Amino acid sequence: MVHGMTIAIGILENLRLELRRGCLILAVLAELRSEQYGYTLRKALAENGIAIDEGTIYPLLRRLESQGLLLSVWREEEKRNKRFYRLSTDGEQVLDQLLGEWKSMNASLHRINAGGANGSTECSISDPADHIKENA
Amino acid sequence: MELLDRYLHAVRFWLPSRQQDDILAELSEDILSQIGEQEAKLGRELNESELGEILKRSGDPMLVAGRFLPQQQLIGPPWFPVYIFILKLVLLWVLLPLFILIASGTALLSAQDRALAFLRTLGGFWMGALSAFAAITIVFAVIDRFHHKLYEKEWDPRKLRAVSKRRDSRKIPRVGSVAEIVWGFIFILWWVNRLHVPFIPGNVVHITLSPVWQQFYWPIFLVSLAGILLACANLVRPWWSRLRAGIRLTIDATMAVMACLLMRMNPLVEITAISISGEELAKLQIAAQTGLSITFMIVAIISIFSCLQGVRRMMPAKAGRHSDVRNLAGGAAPGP
Repeated sequence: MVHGMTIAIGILENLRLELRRGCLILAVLAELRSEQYGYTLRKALAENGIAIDEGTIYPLLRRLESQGLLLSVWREEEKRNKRFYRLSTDGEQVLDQLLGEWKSMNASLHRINAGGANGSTECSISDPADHIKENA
Repeated sequence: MELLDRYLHAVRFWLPSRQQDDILAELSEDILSQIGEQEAKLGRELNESELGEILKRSGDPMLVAGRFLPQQQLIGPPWFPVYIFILKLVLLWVLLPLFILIASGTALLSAQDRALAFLRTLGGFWMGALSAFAAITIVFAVIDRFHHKLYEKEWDPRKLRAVSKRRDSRKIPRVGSVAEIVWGFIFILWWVNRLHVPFIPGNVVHITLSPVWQQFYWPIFLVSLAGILLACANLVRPWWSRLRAGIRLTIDATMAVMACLLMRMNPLVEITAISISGEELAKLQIAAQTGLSITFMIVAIISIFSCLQGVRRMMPAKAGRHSDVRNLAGGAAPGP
């Protein structure tokens, strides 16, 4: 963080949301390597540091399913009907490619940051998929 | 769970009809899971305010439902600049001047309260503008919906339009100054009766200026002469100085005032004719009066715009931009 820099809270919040938006898809796809329904998926992501509300995750899941990256099935569990999601074959391929993309961008950012302004603290950006794997 | 039912019902209202049941089943399951987890922690059922907190965290029903809708914008970014451009062009540069012209004509022809007639006609502008806005928006929404590929194709920078040299607003075109001198000279000759322009061949109809013009004789003469002298100075030094910009502004302001006064004068001309009936002559008089009134109205509008330009010329330049006027009264050659 650059010392002495003041940013309006609203601007920071918008930028933070923009940054999260791209990561969410990757995190959701990575998490759905194992079958989950909406609520447990949200909990798993929150435990890994990616909080996401139901108003965001369900439209996202539907969009990914309509793109052929996810498969879903309704099943009764604990006397309630739940919709379970998991990665499709296409979804696994896309996830691998996106992870490769992420690693490349992460390395670039690390290089940019390392060669950045004096006094800036090194920033380590971890791979979200690795983080989720560790806690699985 | 009446509160939950109300929340889900509110979300349902905004959802696309074909997906309502499916989406609500998933949403309600999620909220029930949250409720179940909270109740397990507390060891009791949730009260209304605790349930309300869970629903508040879920989000406003309209916003939640909106995220499930297929398209979130009517006109997307690629077409939006074109849409705004066309909208401004039609509303501000076509419809508004047209309505002002129509309203002014209606007011002039109105036998009663002219201001009221003007305002009433101008009121019709809003309905016209609304219809134009709706039509343009629908057209662009349709284009955006069906022609995404139009702006995805390859584009060639070599086919872009060449940049035209931007006119330096400090410069006064010499052609304009020459035209002003020539036409000003012709006008003054006519004004002082040294130049006779036959209006209608054969002298069937004779048109003369009415006595109301007598009070304007010298002002018009002096303004025209000032215009010619200024044009001569501009021909020699074709860039605006503060002094000459001030003189131009004074001339334009005087013309605007005189045009406004003349617009209200009646009659402006006197028509005599040999072989035309009294009724036809009266109609001719009205037509001439209306035509001249509209002409002076246009002259007034143009003069007012020129005044605004003149005021802009006189204003000091913003930082980093050249002023329209040189600070020296003589006007040195403009620098870089």
